[in-house]
Amino acid sequence: MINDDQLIKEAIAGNREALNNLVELYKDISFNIALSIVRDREDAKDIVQESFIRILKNIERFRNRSAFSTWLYRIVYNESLRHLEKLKRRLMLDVKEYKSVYGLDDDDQMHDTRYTAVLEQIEKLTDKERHLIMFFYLGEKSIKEIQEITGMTSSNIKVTLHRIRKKLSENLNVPL
Amino acid sequence: MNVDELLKRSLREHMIRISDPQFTKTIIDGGLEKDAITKPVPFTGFASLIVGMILMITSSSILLLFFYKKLPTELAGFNPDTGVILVALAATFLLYTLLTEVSIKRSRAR
Repeated sequence: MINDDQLIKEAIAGNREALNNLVELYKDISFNIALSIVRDREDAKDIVQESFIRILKNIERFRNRSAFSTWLYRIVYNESLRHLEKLKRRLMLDVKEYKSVYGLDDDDQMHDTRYTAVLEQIEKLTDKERHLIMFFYLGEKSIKEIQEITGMTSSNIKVTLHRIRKKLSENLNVPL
Repeated sequence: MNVDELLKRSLREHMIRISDPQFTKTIIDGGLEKDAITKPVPFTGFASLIVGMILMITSSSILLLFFYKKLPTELAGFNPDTGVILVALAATFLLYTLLTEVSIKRSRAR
């Protein structure tokens, strides 16, 4: 399997297939990160598209100082926050609304009750906590990388993640 | 399963996927359009001529003022006040023409 470095090299050289692979590789995680922040599927799609377009236009400036995904998620994160700032909205969603925002059908994932319980618990977290969860568990980013993306201090990230784990462990009745 | 595994599995396995086949194509088309949108328009042709003239008028005026305490227009026979006004008018006209030229080029590039 081709790694990110190789893909980026080929993308800089203008290889359309490499660009295609890069987008395919990260579009879903980026979309879920954006969605967890802006809470609207169409807005999240627009943000991911805009972020990718910005990245592709500046891809020759990528210096490998951090992972490509860290660079991408930072842009997605900032674009999402900017978008929220524009809308000045923050929705507290119950599970029904969550289903409509996340486009889930009654027949599929929502039947997984454990997953539903996890989603409900994630929804009860603060914005900052939810963003951390997405970067740490979905994006599989390290503390240092989350620091680069969000600008939070590493101790703050560690403390917040620990608090989230403890809270979810108690509420979901699973070990830490 | 502990809380870390549960969160990771829940988020990863139930991640919402973008199924729109046009999604990636739109991004790549947009990303590859960069030259048409962001490439700066260089001073070419008429615009570079005007830039050259502005630089020439300004630099020669400064040199003449510094060494001879006279403007080029004074040397050409105009009195000092008229000279200052003529230099200012010429520079303003050239600057206006230059800015118009550049803005036309930029709007064409878009």
